Amino acid sequence: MPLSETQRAFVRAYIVDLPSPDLSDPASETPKAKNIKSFLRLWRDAKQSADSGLYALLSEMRKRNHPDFAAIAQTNLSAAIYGDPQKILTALTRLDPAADADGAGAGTLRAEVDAYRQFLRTNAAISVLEQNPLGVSVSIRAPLTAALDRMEDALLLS
Amino acid sequence: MCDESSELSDDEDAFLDDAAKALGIARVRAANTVSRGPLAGVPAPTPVMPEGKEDVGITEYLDDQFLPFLDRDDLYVAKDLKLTVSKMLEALKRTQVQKLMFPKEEGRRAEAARAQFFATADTNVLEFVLHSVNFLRDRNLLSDQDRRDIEFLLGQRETCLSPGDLAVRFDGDGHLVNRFNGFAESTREFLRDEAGPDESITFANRHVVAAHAMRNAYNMLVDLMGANAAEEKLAGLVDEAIENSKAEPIVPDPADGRHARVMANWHNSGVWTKKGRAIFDRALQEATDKLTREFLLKHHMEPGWEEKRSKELQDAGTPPDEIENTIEAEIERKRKMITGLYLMNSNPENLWRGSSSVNSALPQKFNQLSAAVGEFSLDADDGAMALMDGVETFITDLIAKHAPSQESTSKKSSHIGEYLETLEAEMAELKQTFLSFLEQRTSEAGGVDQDELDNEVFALKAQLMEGYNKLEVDLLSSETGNERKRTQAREMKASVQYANLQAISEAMEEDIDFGEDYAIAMFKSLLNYDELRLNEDSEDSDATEADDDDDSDGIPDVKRRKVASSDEDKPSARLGKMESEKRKRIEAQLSILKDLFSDPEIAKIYAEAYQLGFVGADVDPLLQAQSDYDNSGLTDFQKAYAADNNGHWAEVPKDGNCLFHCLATLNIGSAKDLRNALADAIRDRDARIIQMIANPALAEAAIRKDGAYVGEAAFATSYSAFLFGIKITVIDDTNNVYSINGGAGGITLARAHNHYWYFKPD
Repeated sequence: MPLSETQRAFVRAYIVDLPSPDLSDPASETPKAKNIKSFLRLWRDAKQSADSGLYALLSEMRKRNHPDFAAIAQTNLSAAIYGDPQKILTALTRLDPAADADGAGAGTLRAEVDAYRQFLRTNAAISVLEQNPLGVSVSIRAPLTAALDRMEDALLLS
Repeated sequence: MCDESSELSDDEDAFLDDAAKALGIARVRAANTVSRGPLAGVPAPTPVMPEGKEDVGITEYLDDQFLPFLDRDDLYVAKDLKLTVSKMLEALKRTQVQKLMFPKEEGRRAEAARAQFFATADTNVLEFVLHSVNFLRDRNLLSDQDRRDIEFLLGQRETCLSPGDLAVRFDGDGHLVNRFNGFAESTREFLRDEAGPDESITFANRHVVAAHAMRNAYNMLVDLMGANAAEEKLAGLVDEAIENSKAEPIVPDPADGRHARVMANWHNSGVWTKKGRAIFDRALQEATDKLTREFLLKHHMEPGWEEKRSKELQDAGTPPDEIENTIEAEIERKRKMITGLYLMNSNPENLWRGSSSVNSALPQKFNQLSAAVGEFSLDADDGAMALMDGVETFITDLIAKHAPSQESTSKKSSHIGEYLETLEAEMAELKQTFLSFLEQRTSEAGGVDQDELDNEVFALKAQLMEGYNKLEVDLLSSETGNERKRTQAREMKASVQYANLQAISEAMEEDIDFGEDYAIAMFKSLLNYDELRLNEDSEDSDATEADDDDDSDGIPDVKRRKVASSDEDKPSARLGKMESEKRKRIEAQLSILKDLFSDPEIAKIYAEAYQLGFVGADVDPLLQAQSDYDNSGLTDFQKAYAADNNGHWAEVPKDGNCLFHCLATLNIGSAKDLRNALADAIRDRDARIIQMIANPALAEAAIRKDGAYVGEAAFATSYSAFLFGIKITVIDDTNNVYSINGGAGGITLARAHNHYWYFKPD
């Protein structure tokens, strides 16, 4: 059964015919896209930095061949450590770049950033992992917090 | 497996303790034999399990090792433990393996039923497990295998409930704890956290679930312990409830009264608002009606009881002329007991006040409700679905009773006005609740979670059924009279009910349940009701016409009334307005969608966001719009993939090409084309993603990479799900079900092991 015209239109619209934008051209970016992309990149870099230490620690845990270490290594650490940064992105998507820094969208974003910063600051799991006795350097709070700071600076939220 | 020779340093042991606590998991192995802190240097007690017994189940271990060490009192407890822990666990496992494998055609209802099952486990069953497991743990008798079993079972529960609802885990000491400290506490949590000042419908829903949980708990007890033991439990419930209320005991059988304590805690928690308590009491009534009826039927009113009792009396030498009187006296005593039980159950205020007054209307009401509840025919393992069947049966019966003839409606009841007012109030409340629900449904970004939506509708149904119960009691318990206006009102209600029921019945016939369509059908019926009520208030000609009809042939012109009501401007205008508003919202969402996805930059960004684990409807406007995306090519697209399988689930081999097997299973001849198109598109975004889609094993491996969650597979799965307009459900080798529709795909996939993939059109 061939695809119907409607189906083909959908595929064309959302799958095949999406042109690859030239991301190197800042002029092609909308202000909202720029904000989102900026944050995503900041976040990706920060998370990769945090992940590198975390993965090293998990690897070391497995080498210990101990059920408790194995259990921790199998835990969904990402949820415990990174929480729900998605809210920041959500707020970011709703931020009107044309509005001033005191707009409602900015206020929401600022509140989400503060909440997430608080989450990082009080997260016991991060503290424990960063202060592990296995000799592995783990840094989670610092890069993520720095990413938040940079985003706030970029958006003139701070 | 662990290296038995591995030793931990104190620092490592402390780290593991702290990490386990911070992550909310249990230490797999007990801490070092040399403990830290105040007990430093004190050897740990005997090993958790004797060598060679590590993998023995609780039942066998109790037989071999546990019982001999117990004193007489403990022996009693041990028997109870054996009965509870082992059978509960076995039953839970068995239920999961056998009974929770709902036929795939059942779809959403099966999910609801499954949720109900686990709601059961959250209350009574879980209480047994908590108590028993900790009892074993305190004696170092909890094997690693037992613990794994328990953790597994708890894990299943957590996947079926909202995260954080009931966080039951092993704590740092190895005790199984419920952070809400029992269901009574959790109820308070619900009230504080969720009901809020407005006592949201979530609040009502919780307690409907709680009521079902109680009912299911009893059925599960029957299943686990046999009817006699379960009835003893129930007798204990009643016994202790009465004791608590300072009323005269009417069921002397001893039992632990655990359920009664739960009930008492609920009612004595002191946090109930008047309305909230009323809502809960309604739910509780539904559950306790079932319990009471089961108990009474099996203990006291089983068929043939009178003959059996008569023979007993004869054998005992009772004079023949006294036998009848004796039996009548016993029946009367039973009736009083029934009345008392029902009074207790239906009006907890009376119970807690210790009232022994009996309303003469209650026996009739009890009989009617018992008959109605009996129609529910609840099964032990499948309360929600059986309830649905019961609702259908009940509605069918009601229609049969009310539609053909209303000759009994000339009766008079001194209570009818009150009942009608109650019914009106309930209908109004239901309508308002539903309007709020619709408002929430359409105004919140991303819409309401589907499971929540299902539960809301489920709760509404339960409320509606309550109204039907009362209506039927009104009609059937009315006495003959000549008060014309009340007769008219009663007939009006009957015809309105018929219209409502007919609408719901039609919705059910179309297999529209647990969804917005069903809810809208219900809403339409309520609009009919509202319109007719207005007519009644104005003593319009409709009622007179109905009365005239009744005078002529005894049959209200229900069909004509229904048609006439649907032709009324007012309800249709209101419905049209609602649909218009909904359409506007949909169009607004679609506008956002088109705007964003016409911007390739944004599309690219969203792809990146998925890769980074930012998945979910909050982020993705397409996912936000999809639920309401009912007037576009996407709908046709979805339907094309659903039509050939009649909307049923399709099982596909787990050979790594699940997505494309699915397409083939759905009889999409151009699956290959679509595959290529998808592959090309996604490859443009990230070459890894197409690997994930093509091979779930890779996806799982990626997720498990270094033990941390990685977002690619979630993106791949979720993206596929919304691209194809389908809902992906993964059923693992333990028959645990995970639904993936864009939200928590990564997490759910991480929990899955041996994938069976089912695709269901969303």
